[in-house]
Amino acid sequence: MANIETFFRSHKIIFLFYAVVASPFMLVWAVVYGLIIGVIGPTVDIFEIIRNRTYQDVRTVLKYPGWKAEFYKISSLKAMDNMPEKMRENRKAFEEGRKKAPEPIGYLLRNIAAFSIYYPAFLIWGIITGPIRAFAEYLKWCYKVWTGQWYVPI
Amino acid sequence: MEKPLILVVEDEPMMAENIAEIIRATGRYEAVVALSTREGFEQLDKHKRFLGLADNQIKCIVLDIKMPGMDGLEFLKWIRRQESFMKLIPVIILSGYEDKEKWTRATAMGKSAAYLKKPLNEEELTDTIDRVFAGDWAYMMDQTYKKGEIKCEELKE
Repeated sequence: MANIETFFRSHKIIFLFYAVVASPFMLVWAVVYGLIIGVIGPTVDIFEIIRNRTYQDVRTVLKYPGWKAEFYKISSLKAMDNMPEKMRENRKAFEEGRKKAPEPIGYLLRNIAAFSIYYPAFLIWGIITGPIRAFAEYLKWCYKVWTGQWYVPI
Repeated sequence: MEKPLILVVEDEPMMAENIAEIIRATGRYEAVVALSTREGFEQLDKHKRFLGLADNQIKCIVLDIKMPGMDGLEFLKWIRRQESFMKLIPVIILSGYEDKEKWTRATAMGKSAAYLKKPLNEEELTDTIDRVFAGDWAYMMDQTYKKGEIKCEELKE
């Protein structure tokens, strides 16, 4: 692959001709490949999300007291503002019995229930964007051959 | 089974290679090096799985904050913007930072698995990575929060 890229980079007219001629074939390839990946990708993804989350939750609930484990479960790493305050509130709720941490098996069932909801949306998203992503990969490769640099969206 | 891949984003080549070597020496992980945030984006793009529809092959990032051009925090912001809340790549931030504003910003972002201070402690790094892969987020969140608080207190004095 690298040899072809080097050849094309030093013979840009030939590359341009190749890119134009290959485009319709690449478009067909992108649709077929994109649809396959669009189905497989989200399926693998949702399976891995559930597996990893459950592993993480079970490990946490076995290691930490319920209130803390539950806090870690509900607090997204993306939004940890007011962490001490949230932690205090959560602890209070657990101490007063308003909240209760589930058993490890409960986490598995909860994760399956929670994340399976997203699966149809992920699948539709994958099927729609798969072909676009596949063709974008081809365009990125053209960019790389032309400029010698990987396309970076910044 | 394939070893989990760790991306090291560090602008000093010697330091970057050193970190990568520490990671590889564990025998449990594989490491790739990026000497700038641009190279970091390239590596993330190259290691996409299923055209980006599934988790990246890179399972953890060791990120230096202070870098020329786009710094580590900006890099972190960019990658978080593109990720869904369900699959964040754990980021271990390396910093020798003494700048109060940046440190406060880094801890307030709360998007990382751990903060390690430079000069780097080899054991602390491998221990943190092990915890990331063991899924021990709770411990790391605790530690990160404590470290952030201690650092902010230090900077106030």
